[in-house]
Amino acid sequence: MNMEKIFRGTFFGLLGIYFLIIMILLLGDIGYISISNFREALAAPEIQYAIKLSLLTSLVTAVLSLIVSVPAAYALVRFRFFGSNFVDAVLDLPIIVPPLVIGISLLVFYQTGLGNILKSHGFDFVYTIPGIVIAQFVISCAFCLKTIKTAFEGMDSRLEDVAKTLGCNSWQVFFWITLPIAKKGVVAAGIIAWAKAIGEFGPVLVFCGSTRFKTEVLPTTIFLELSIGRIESALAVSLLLVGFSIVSLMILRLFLKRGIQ
Amino acid sequence: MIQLQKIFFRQANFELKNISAEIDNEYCVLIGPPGAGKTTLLEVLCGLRQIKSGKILLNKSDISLLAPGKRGIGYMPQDYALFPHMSVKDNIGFGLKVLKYDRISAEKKITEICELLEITHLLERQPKTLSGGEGQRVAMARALIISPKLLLLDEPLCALDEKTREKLIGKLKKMQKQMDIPFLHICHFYDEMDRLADKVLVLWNGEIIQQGKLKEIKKHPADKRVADFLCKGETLCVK
Repeated sequence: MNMEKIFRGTFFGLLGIYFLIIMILLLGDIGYISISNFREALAAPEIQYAIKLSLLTSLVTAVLSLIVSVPAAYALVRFRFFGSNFVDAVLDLPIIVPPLVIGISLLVFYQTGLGNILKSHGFDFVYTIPGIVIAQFVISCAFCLKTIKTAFEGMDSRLEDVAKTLGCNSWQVFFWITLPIAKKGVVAAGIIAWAKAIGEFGPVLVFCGSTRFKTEVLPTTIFLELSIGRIESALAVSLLLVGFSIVSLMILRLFLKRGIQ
Repeated sequence: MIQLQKIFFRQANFELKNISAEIDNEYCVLIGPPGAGKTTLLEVLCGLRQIKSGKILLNKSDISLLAPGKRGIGYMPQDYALFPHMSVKDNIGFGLKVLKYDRISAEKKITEICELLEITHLLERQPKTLSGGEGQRVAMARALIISPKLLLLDEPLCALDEKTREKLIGKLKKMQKQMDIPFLHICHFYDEMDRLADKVLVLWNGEIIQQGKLKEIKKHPADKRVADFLCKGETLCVK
């Protein structure tokens, strides 16, 4: 066997092993439950509630993440300011820090002076539906920001310079030039934020609990169903989440392939 | 006419120092080695970078503190920077959209400038489908359509093949005469400079070390740097 064959075999082999691990796990899940189990689980009112709440909160989170991260990413990429590297590093923290830590931090925040002031003015989001959005947002927004930042960084800033010389103010440059050119990245970031939000478990559980018909979202449903030994239900919800992920990945790839610029 | 009076600009470790020059409605070529600050000087003139001190007078009005879009300067950067999400027509008409021209007047101006630059057949195309020469003329149309009082060209011919360059050199010179405004053109090719320049500015390490008519500079280069840079093998006397 020559070196070329060994090289290709090694690299393909490792690719194949990882692909197989994922496929075996997925097929194992699918094989474990029957279609009737799946239908039965998804027909349960508490799970239907969790599906609706998950879709609603993740959608709101994705929109909020885009609203915040588009201008924030632009500021990070285009404005020069003291401590920009530090700010950038802090904004990456939600990606690296274990999600549970975010949940605990949110909970602790409401024990601080500022948290108490917010509580006394009616902004107490602990164990509430808006709280789910906040917990999802803190993490999803970081992923969203990183994706949009990459899109802005890849853009030729001379396009903006030319627009300025043609009479545009900064708002016009942003909305007529920057945003349309970075549209592909922004759409991708929105899909990533949504996919991340719908699967968020740790911070939601810690900050909002998992009360049935109140703050139960799909990831917490899996946890609840498992804790009472209903593995089929837990698997059905897991497969539903896998389905959502596959759909979002396919949409993402479609956008990236078509190049909606 | 543009007058630069003791312009000083600083960014990080780079400085433009004491830049003074006067360019009439003529074709002026800016030359200098890489890193001399040629592109920075153009960006300073069109207001993309703010000067620390000095004055920029365009037709005797002080434009030093004006925003880029208020200066009346057309700018064509390297590689033309055509907006990739717009058609050629939208690229050319962009400045008119910003200036809130009505549709009929805008169409008329676009038609005129396209006829002048012979690019009418390109209007519905997308920038990525244009050749280098076509892109250059579209970028030029976009910069000229706002009727600037000065046109800045950052190496507009450097990425083109020999034949296209030849054609466009003549076109640029003709356009300058027709528009009767100063053109300031960063140039790296000797033949390009020779055929275009009414006046030459030599920029070296952030300073203008010589300026004047090309013939005079060739005859009497300020120092060895200018002589070496200009003659490229030709024998020029060195002061």
